[in-house]
Amino acid sequence: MITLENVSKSYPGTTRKALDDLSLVFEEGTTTALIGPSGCGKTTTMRLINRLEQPTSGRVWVNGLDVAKEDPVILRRHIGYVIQNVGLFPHMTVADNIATVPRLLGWSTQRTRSRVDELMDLVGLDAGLYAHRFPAALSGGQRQRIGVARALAADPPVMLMDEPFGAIDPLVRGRLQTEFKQILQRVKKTVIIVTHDLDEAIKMGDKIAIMRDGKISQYASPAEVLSSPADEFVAAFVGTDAALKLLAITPLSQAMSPQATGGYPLQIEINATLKDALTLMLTQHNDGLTVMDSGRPVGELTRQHLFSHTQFRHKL
Amino acid sequence: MIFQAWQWVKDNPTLFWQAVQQHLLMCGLSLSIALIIAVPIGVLVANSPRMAFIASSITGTLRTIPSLAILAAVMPFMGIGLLPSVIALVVLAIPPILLNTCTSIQAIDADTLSAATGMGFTPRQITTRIVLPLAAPGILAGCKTAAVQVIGGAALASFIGGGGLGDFVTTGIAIMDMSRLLVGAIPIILLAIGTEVLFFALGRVFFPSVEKSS
Repeated sequence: MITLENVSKSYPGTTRKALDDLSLVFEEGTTTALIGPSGCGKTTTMRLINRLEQPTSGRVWVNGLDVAKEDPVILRRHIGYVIQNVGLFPHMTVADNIATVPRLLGWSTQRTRSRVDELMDLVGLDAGLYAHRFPAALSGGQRQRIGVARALAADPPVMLMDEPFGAIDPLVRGRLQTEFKQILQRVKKTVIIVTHDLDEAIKMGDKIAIMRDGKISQYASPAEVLSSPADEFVAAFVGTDAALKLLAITPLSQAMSPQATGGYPLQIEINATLKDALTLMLTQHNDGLTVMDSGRPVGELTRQHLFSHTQFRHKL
Repeated sequence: MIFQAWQWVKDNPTLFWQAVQQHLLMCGLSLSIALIIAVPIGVLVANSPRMAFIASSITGTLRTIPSLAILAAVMPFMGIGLLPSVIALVVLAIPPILLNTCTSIQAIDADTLSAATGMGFTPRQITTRIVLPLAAPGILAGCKTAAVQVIGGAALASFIGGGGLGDFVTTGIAIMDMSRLLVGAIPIILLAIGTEVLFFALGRVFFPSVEKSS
């Protein structure tokens, strides 16, 4: 668990506060997306956690330790860190890059080597093929995979990711996000992702913290942020298509009725989202769908179900 | 004439090899000293743009001074012999090494360094494990330039009593014996070419990743 307690930060020579009396708790084992316009303080907030920045006042706790009292070098070896342009060491092979922190921590050669293989497997790169290549011989997506493997190497309880997909082309980005979400769920870390991409925040985050001028505007689940923005700023930030974004992250099982009357010939799988359902209704000009689970009808979803489920507290 | 030069070498092997030895000693010594001085200064200076600018201005100016002038300028203070020659050659060798060290360090990707800091490298580890290895190909290139200059400059050291192969050249000119002049000139040329080749090979052996990334 990471706790920020009344943290303020101002840089010398400026009167504006980069962070203004910020208090925030990141729950253990969850992924939180820090998002907001540039200059809102999201990157600074992240960098307080591994002491790349010092707060002007306030405290930062990581798993019960006051980071101000820790040796920053030791602290950083126990916090995974991934940055936008990866920052792989160009003079080291893929395997040596991944082994960086284990070596700093003095692991045995044997343990380090097997950990490297394990991680390459986790991020989906064949160790036999890639372990001895240099970063320059990899694609952007492959480099970012290695970047994540390197950050996970010493199995840190906390991972900080600063715009991890920012430099990757949109096609690969979507696939990588899905993959990393699965990896992060498997390794059970407390993850903080800084991003300026709302779709990425919704996709990756169990929770989203929307920041503005060094303060938190709203800190809630993606569904809550989309359906009930806390103020005008958040409403404008999530945009006019928040309803559609919400559909995309809501499983249709939440809205369907559990009785199948057999009145609707069109079928949809139960693990689909409301957006999938709406798309199907629109393209097939149909008012209702029969929901299928492993080949058997388990319920149905009509336009009425869909409309009544998506209630917005904030009028756009 | 070349045959005469060859004949002279065969007749005076001790004199010839002594001169070669002296030449190499002078070059090796001054290069090593220059390396010891220039690399740490380059590392220190590269982090501050202002210091780097000052250092590159000074070394840039130093570089425009002809080698003979540097050798001549040392003589009034240090006298003649090996030591003043070596000092003059060190002054000659520092600029290319320092400049290359500095620019190679400045060319290191900022993301690489911030990743290293964020992962828990100490400042010293960043210098020894990241900065120096990454700057090494550039430093080696600086050494190559310096080595070639020093070999040429060492030929002139004979004017201030540094000895070496330059002695044959000055003697050759003094007694108007062209074959004696060649006894000095040809090995100096071969040494310069050999140095180029040597440094090229060193680069190939030690920095294969540089080849792959370009």
